[in-house]
Amino acid sequence: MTLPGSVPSSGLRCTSGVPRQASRRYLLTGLLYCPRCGERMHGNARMGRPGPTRSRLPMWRSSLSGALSTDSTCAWLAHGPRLETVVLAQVLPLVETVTSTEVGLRAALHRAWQAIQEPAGAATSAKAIARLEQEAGRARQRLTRAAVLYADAEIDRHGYELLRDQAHTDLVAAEVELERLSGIAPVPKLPDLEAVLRQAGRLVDRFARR
Amino acid sequence: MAAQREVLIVLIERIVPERIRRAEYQAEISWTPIGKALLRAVAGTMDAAVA
Repeated sequence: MTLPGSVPSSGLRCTSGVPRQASRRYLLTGLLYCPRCGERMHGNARMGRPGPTRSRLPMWRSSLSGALSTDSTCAWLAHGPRLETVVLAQVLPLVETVTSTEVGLRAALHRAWQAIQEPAGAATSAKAIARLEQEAGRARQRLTRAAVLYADAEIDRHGYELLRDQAHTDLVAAEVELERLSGIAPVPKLPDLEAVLRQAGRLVDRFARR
Repeated sequence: MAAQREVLIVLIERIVPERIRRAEYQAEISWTPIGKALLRAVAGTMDAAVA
């Protein structure tokens, strides 16, 4: 079976270091990593078995040797089209689902996309953070005010300590709660769903034409 | 080819293949944030359909 985007006859091989995607000739270039050495893989032509049916096989290859290193090797190889089939078998159902033109599904997808960006409680947390920041600010002002009053002899030491302790308690409580809320996972920033779907649709369209 | 790759790059961050037997593979896909979001969104639509 020939899959769209299959590795052409020249194949791919694994490289280490900076990814090279200049040729853009191979569907999975830049995405595949060798399971053995962890290096990026790239396409490479590989000669088949000698004989009358000898042919150039498109392969994904992991190689720490070759042009990049002389003291280590990794000869992990994978059959290009078969590996791409496996990857596409996972990706295409997702893409086909999200690019479905069924109205109900599209509307549900929009709702789900929106919900991801506005998880339950996110708005409440934002309001709570704003309120706590105001409370912390007021507590700091009260601390300053207590010190001024004491310095101006408008309150005695006992009065100053009461004001200071109360303001300090409020400040610490607000800061502890602020720290807790700031640890909550941020709301993800996602691109416009329609733009994503248009791009995904190009993949489906391309495969459908073949 | 370039257009297809652009789509895959939007969705996939990394693929680690595994040979399960001769000439048979499985692939561990690490999705990009957009890919993950789409997976979650699709899962959400499925949950809504079941409910």
